[in-house]
Amino acid sequence: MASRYLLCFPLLLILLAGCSGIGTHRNVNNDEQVQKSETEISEDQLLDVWIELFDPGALPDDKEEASGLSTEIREAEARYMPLQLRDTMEKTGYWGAVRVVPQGTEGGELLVRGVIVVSDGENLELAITALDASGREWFSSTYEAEVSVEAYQGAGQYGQEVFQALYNAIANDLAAHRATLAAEDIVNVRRVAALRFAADLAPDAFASYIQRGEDGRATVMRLPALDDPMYRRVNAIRERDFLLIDTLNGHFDNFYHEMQDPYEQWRKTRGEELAAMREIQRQARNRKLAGAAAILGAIAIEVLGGDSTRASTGSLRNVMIVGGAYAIKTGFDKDSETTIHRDAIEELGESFSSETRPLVVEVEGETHELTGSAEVQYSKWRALLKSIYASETGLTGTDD
Amino acid sequence: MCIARFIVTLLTLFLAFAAGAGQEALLNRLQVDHEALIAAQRDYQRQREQGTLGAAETADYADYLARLRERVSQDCLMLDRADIRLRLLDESPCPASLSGVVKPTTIDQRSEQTSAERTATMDAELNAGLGEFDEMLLREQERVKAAAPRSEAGGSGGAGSGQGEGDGGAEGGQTGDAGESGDVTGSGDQPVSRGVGDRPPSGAAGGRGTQTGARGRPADIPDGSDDDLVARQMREAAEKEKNPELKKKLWEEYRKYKQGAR
Repeated sequence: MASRYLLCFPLLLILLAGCSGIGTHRNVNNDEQVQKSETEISEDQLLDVWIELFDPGALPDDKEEASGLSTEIREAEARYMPLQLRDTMEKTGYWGAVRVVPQGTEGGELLVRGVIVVSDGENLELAITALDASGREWFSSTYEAEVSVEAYQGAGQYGQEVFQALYNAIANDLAAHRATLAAEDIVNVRRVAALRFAADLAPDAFASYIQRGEDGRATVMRLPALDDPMYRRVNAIRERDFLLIDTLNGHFDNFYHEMQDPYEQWRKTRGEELAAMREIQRQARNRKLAGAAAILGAIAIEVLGGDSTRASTGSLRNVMIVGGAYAIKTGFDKDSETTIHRDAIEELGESFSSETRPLVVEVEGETHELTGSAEVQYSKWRALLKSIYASETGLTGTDD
Repeated sequence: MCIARFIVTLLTLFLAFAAGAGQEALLNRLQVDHEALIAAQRDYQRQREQGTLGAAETADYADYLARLRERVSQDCLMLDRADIRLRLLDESPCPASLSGVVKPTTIDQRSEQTSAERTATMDAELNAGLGEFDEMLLREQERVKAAAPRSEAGGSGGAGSGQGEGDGGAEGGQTGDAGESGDVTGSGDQPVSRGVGDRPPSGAAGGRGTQTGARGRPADIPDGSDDDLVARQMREAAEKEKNPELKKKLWEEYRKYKQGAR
């Protein structure tokens, strides 16, 4: 009986993990293709997707693995990869506007967040969370893919991303989850997004239109009238918000295109150096093993062989011992050759870091400038909407 | 005594004349500013459609339009504060509730405004802010395009930009009722543009916010029988685009997509 409970417990954990979408992990095959919508989706069923700039994550603890990587490179990748995902999703036809937004941006219908777990040119692992405007988490999964250095040879010619399969897998999972939603759910998500924006700008007028449950999920309590002047004002501002995000994406695009070639080159060259280093390490290890085996063989003959065997193999044992020692020495010599490649990897990393740093600073500056100006303007509009609401209704609403 | 009365009468008449002249001057200024704004908007739109403006010139022009718009808004507010109505103008650039009959009273009208008038004033302020924000974004978008890497700028970019002027909402009767998704027009308080570079505009991808226009495709573009959904949408966008420069860039995007899809 107890063993049955013990058996059920892990199953329960798996089921719970499945329900909350926590902890699923996918090893992505490099031939994963992106799925495109075969029919045109009606306008009211298109969700706008906002992909936050990724969290750069932490560099590996292991010094060897972290060789040639840097926080500057990760910062650049955290801005580069969301654009790759955006471009992938845009091609599927399942979504409305797909945009990259700074972290913490409110107002999207579907929000995609990502953390870079591993990124070294050969391996890419991303932790992705998707949640809609109502606060419902679609899923939270990690995606892992590995490519060989040869993958960069072909990819460069066609401007293809070597980890495209991983982005395809994310896009496919998002589309698959979307397919599980009823049409009314999608309409509801869009309504919640619009009303959350309205409530943020004009809380006096719209805060009561949505309500949050204990689970944090937002529910639409009622809808504004079609000709509600306050709602039309808010929508006019929301259109500007879309334009602001479009403009930000223009800056992100420029960053992406400036980074694309050096990033590709860095990953390719780093991969080549790593491959060369591993080959040398493999040769060095083989030589050491062969040398050790020869010496051990000579000792074994000496210990286990009879008098006649020892007498007949005397010179052979000497050769085995000397040869073995020499092989071990050349193994260590070979090991030292890896230093050249390790240094090269470090230098490549430093060079690429210094190349990306100004690009990141520039795009970060543009983002702050734009969002800062917008926030000042939005504050003014909030105050103005509050006054207009008071003027129109005679209600003063709640004090801020 | 008689002379004193004569002097007082003269002074009263002079003050009344001066006040009238001040009102006239304000109205004249509004009219001149408004006409200058309309003319500049038309010229700007025409030059943009013809593609004769460079990035820097476009930004300067947009800046000039924003200043004109601000002047008109300020004129409207000054007239409103001075309680001068706009019946003298054929086409009022101020919200409707500001126009009407001149009230022959000297009491503080601001504090005596009805809630509708106060709302109209604040709407004008909101729309002026929206117009300024539009201009700021337009300038930023021009900056983005100017800063685009050469290969990027040559091959793509520009889709969806330059639609409308967003004249700050100072049109008579406009009370901030803009922003309906998909309604892309050239005046009123609509956003100045939708979409930067080669991105489909926000809220317009996949069928939201489409426009209509002339068709026509380059000779090297196939008939599109093998188009997938995205390619079909790109094709439609290119066919419908009126601006020849943008049209060319949209076809270029279509070509690139088709090459990538093979």
